[in-house]
Amino acid sequence: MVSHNCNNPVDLTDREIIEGCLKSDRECEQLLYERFAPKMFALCLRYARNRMEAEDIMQNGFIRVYNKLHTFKHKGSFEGWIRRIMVHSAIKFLKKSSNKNEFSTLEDVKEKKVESKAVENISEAELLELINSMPDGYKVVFNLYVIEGYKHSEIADMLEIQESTSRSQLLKARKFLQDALKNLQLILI
Amino acid sequence: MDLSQQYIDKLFSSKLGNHAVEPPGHIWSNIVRKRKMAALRRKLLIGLLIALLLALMIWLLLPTRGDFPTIAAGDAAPDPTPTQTYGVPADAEDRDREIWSQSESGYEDESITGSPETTMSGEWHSDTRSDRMGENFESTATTNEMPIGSERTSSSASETSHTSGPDITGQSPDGSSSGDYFETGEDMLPGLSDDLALEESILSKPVESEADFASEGMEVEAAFVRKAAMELLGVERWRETMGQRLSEEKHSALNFNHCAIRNNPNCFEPVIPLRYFALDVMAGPDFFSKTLDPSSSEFREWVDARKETESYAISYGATARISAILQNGFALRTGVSVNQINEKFRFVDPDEERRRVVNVLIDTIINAPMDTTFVFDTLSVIETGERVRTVYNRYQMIDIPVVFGYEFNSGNWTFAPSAGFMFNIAFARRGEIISASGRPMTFEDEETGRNIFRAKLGMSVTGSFGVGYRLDSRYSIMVEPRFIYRVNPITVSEHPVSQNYFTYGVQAGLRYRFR
Repeated sequence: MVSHNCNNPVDLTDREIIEGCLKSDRECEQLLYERFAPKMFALCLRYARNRMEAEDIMQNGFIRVYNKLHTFKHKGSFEGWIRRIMVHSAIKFLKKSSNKNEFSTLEDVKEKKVESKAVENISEAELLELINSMPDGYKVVFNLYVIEGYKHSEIADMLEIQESTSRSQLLKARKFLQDALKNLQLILI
Repeated sequence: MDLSQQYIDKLFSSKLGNHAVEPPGHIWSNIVRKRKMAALRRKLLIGLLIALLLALMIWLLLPTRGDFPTIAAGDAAPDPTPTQTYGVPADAEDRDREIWSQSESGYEDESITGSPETTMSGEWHSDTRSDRMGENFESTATTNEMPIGSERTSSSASETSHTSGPDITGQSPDGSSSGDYFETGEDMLPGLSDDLALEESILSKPVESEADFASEGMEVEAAFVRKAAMELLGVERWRETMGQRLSEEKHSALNFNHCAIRNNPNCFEPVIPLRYFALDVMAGPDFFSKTLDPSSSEFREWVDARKETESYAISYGATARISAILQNGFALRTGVSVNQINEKFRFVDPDEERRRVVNVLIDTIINAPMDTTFVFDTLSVIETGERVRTVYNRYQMIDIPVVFGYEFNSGNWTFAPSAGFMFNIAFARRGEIISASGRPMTFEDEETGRNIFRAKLGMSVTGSFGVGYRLDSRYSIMVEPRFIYRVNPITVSEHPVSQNYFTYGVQAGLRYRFR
């Protein structure tokens, strides 16, 4: 049996923390939160429209993590498991709070080639702002495909849209970001 | 480098894939609070379900009006004053006798159908059967026991009277066949003749068990009820009360209305589900279990310091409420509950400095014999010592309880389990606690200046088990252990230490029962 001494948090593995949480050890629960909260909050900021929504998404997401912790089978990364829960929590929150359907049909998108050297120096916070400046539909699909690594078929299931719609939204998101980065590059230069 | 799609994907995924942003501190406390509330909601739901199941079981197991004792043909007649009163208060018989004795004809001015226009004259006409009854009556007329008929006989020559009825076993006084113990003449009181005919036909059967009547429907049930009334009142009283309203207690005890007795389809009287209202006033001491939860580990030392400096002081609660008790025993209660939680805050400062001004004699000048001048100067002295600061903290709550319960009686005792909610309408607090920096502070936050406690406490869960003893028809004494659990902490969510109470105690007081 793996012991879980939450008095030495640095030494604890994810498995030990999980076992402690399943035994309702408050220290382990807090340790789980502190270990994964920063990355999850950054994830929530990418999906939410503002910081307050990101906080709500994260609260709901972690509550679901604790409630479903007993279902984690220790197959694959624990962080990846938490990410999936957080993504689902974000999508559920956005569906609940969205007022209109932003998904549209496929359009032709022409790619432009733009010179840029300063783009590589853009900070994470600025990239986050660029993402948040996109419409919700573009943002969610871009996050799911590019950053979380989901396939279009999986995205279509999660968002209850057509696969073609997912592809078109991704193209639009990339075009949007391309234009935004070009403008930013002009400012930087 | 081209801003191609692949480049953009790689740029964002590499920079934001493992990006981390420190979340605000209150998110964790919100998560803890929401999880606690969700767990409490689950427990409440389970508790309510269990309470409902228990109430349903008690309801099913309670004796119904079909459980009255039966008497088989051939059994001896019951005592006219039965000892088994089915829970009827002791003075009910006297009240019925008083009602009867106040009326000249022995009847109230009230028709069988309830219409004020129709009244009973008390005139009776004889037939062959009543003649036989008359014979029986004459033999007993000299007694002081008052069958109603004796008065009417004296007032009118045309009147004959009903006498004390025959043996309830079905044998008429003259020994005729069973069942012939009710007069069925045409000139009987309006509406009665059909009733009696039915009753006679039904009750002529040997009464083995309630099951004999199970298939006969409402009419049989009404006859069975009347039979139960006869057993309760005695046949003489039954005849006297026909057409006369039974006392309120007997109605409650037997749990049926007049129309069931009379079996008159024109008779209408709604069944009133409410048994009575009562006013309960109680007070008593309270104890509590306090929880102090830090929002993060950095406040743990502060929590420990607070636990060392705060201790229990005598607390109390008082309740005034109205209870509505239904015929089936269920109760609904609401009113006002005032509770005060007292704590003693004791802070010891070992390095307290106190400045004291003293007069010091610095010189003595002898001017002449008997003339001496003393020169004094003041000196400020700083004394260092231990200072103990004691403050009594007070948390006063006024709540509106909405409680559901069940009451069941055993003789003069009443047992009343209850559970429900309380809604806070006022919360006043004053006192001091130790701050994070280790100094006494009032209830205002050191940084923001805002009160660390909420202005309103929202909803609480409460439960109790009351035991009452009835002193008379109006008053009962009640003793009620109870608990109160505040769903939300009494501190504001921004405060890093969450404070809450689980209160329990015993209240005692009086119940006044309204008619």
